[in-house]
Amino acid sequence: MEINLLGPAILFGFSDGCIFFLVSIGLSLCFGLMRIISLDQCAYYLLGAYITYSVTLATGSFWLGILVTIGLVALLGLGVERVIYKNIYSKPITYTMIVSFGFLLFIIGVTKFIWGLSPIPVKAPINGSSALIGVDFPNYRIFIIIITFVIYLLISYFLNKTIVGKAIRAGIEDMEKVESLGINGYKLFKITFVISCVLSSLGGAFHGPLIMVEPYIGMSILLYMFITAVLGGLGSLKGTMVAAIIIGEVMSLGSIVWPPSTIILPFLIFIIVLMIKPTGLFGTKLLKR
Amino acid sequence: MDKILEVKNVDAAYDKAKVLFDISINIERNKTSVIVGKNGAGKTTLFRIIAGFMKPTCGSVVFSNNEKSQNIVGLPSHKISNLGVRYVAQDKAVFSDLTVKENLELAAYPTKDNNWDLVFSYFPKLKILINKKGAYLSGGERQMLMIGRSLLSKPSILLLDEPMEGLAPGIVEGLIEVISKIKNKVSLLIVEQNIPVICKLADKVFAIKEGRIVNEFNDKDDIKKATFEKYL
Amino acid sequence: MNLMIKMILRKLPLKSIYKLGEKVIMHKTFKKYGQIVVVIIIVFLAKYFVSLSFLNEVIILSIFVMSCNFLLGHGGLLSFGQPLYLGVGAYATACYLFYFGQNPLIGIIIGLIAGVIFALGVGAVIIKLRSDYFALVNAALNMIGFFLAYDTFAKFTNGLDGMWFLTRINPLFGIDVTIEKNFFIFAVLILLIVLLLTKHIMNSMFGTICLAAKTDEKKLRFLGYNIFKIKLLVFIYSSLLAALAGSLYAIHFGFVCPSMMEQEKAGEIVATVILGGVGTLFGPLIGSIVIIAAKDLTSNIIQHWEVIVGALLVILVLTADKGMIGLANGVISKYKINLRNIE
Repeated sequence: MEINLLGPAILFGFSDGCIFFLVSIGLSLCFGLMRIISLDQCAYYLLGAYITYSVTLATGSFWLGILVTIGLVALLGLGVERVIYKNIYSKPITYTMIVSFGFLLFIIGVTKFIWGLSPIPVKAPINGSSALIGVDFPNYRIFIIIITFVIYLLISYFLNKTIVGKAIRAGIEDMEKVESLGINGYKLFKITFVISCVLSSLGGAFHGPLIMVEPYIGMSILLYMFITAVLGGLGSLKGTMVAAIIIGEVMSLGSIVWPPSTIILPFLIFIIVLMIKPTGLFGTKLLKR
Repeated sequence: MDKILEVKNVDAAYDKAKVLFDISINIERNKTSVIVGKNGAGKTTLFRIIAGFMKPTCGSVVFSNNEKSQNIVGLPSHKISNLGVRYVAQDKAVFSDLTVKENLELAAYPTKDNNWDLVFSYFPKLKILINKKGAYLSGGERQMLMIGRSLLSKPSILLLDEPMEGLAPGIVEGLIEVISKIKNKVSLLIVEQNIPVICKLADKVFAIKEGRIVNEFNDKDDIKKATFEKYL
Repeated sequence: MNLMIKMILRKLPLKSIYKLGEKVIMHKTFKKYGQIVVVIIIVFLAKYFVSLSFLNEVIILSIFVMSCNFLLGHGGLLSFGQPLYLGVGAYATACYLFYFGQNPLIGIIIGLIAGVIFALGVGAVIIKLRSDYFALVNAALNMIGFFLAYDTFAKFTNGLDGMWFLTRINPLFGIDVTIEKNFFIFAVLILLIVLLLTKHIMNSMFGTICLAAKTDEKKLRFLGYNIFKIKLLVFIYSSLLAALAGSLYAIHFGFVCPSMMEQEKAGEIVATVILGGVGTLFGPLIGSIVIIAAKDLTSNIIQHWEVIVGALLVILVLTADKGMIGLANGVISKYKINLRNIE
């Protein structure tokens, strides 16, 4: 391992981890509150990447692309929640896994149809690089770290300081008690689901310029998203962030120590941690509903 | 009798196992009614049906308030709570990640009823613990919070499921005092197995055995004379 | 089914044949397994209508899909890592045929044994996990297995290039099974055995207990059943089928490579299970035919199979339908044909 690769690897791993956080927090929150495994978050990630790309291409503004993505995905999320999830909240987890997986397949197919199979290189909205701890680090990645940090603070503020957020935190613990206080639990579900979809789509939108965008990125992100969420502890904001950074760093550092390990290290870590603490790093034993 | 709640011919079952048979009871407004019965007799099931967390296989529950009556069976539980029916569950579980303040905030949210002073007048200790997270409260403090919570947002009737269970005698005394104070302002339907408590608080007692109402005691004197041990 | 045959037989002039036929149909065993025999005959005759390679692929895939189907339908366990168990069987057979012996039958048996032992070891640990963890851990194990095959054990497995041993496979009872024609007969026989065995298990007391364990674990525990053991047995049988499919792939192609157990294929298999009808006996077969046919056809519409399959998955699960088999049953009852429903 070359020592002068260590600095870049750590920074790159950190920014990769930020993307993982954005993609995984949705799944984590959805499970925590609604006890569903929303694998379709990968679909919103995929759409986020493509919609932002297309709008940027058409209008020249990446930020407009982000806005349009948020709007469209929020609408889609509302629709999906109403049509698909509304009726299966009480069913076993396996149902939601299969249904959301089916929807993911569907969206991948739609993406294939609209944009084709060829991988698309997406231009980063921010160019150049800055010297950071002696390393030449792309400004766009600095932006990703900053924006993820901001989003994390926003989510934290939402969950801890707003009444809706507090209701959601209470609902993660015991939905029945929340209802018995007179709060409409279903509305909480809708809000949480839409927020999750938007966050996942932002993950995709920001990830686009870092990878070659093609329809199957929706599938390849699935395991990493799932592992990050479970590793951190389903329902835990802090846990997902920590787990995401760990996964990002592990993959990045692994690639300079022993390249083949990038594929396998996350899964090894995942299995080892689960053996020691089955509820994940910061997870608590969530009551069955 | 000014009835606030009328349970009419309610049957209930878990899958095929029937647990309640033709339950019919009338709860009088601003009086304290108590249900006694063994564990598994169906008391909690009845509460859950009234609160809307479970559907009866037949029968109706009529809630009357402000000169309006309606059958609340089939309504979502939060709507039933908004009507004024507050269910305080047996498990004494408050939201552990939320502080006392936040617990009360949530309870006050539906009607923006921020008359916390009323709650603090009954449970002054909660004011001291206001910023403590639910996880760090003792059993008695949690029960105070649970009942305190249910007093916000203008309740009409409180369903208390074994409120004294597992609490130290000192705390029980305190709770009895509080309940005596609120007795005349709020209707109470309590499930209790603690006989001295029943004798002190109850205006009316229903005995339930194996899913059926087997006896009713309407008189304070009747209640004092009755031996409830046989129903426990 | 019986009535239809009755009607056909009734048309024949010879009363004795009719009487004999009736005796056969009424016999207990035929009632139970008659459908399987008919299906096998149809599959066998299909060789006159479609290519042998297509049929061979369908048969092997359907055995693999049956593994996933049994796991989900009777065990209530969803796994996103079934290709791992296929790989275990495939590589066990491959290693035997590459390094040790040349008898394909022994190769298959080695594959099966490897599958069972592996499933026993892994299952004992992961069966207890909650369903989403179970699905995910299987996926993670799948990825690790894939990595082991192409990197860690590359010395033995030849890494990504895979192992080629076609010429090493000896004839089985004098017949060279690597020839498409002969493999087909071999595969059909194996399919027959698998169908019979699976049907037997499904209809047995064990099968009923499995279905009960899926929905009402608590009640069953109170009755004294060991849920863990039940699910473990389901898991082992399912892994056995997956390993069998892997071994068959190995024999058929005389070649194995890591991409056979790509984790990415796991999703497709789950989709095929649902499409064909989860929990049914012939669902996997139907599903495999549809999936392979859909992929082979090169028209523009079918190229976007994900849209169709994905949409179907969502619809089927939401309506709790039994996939193609459910569809067939629906059609049958619609036209009030008095056949006993297909399973």
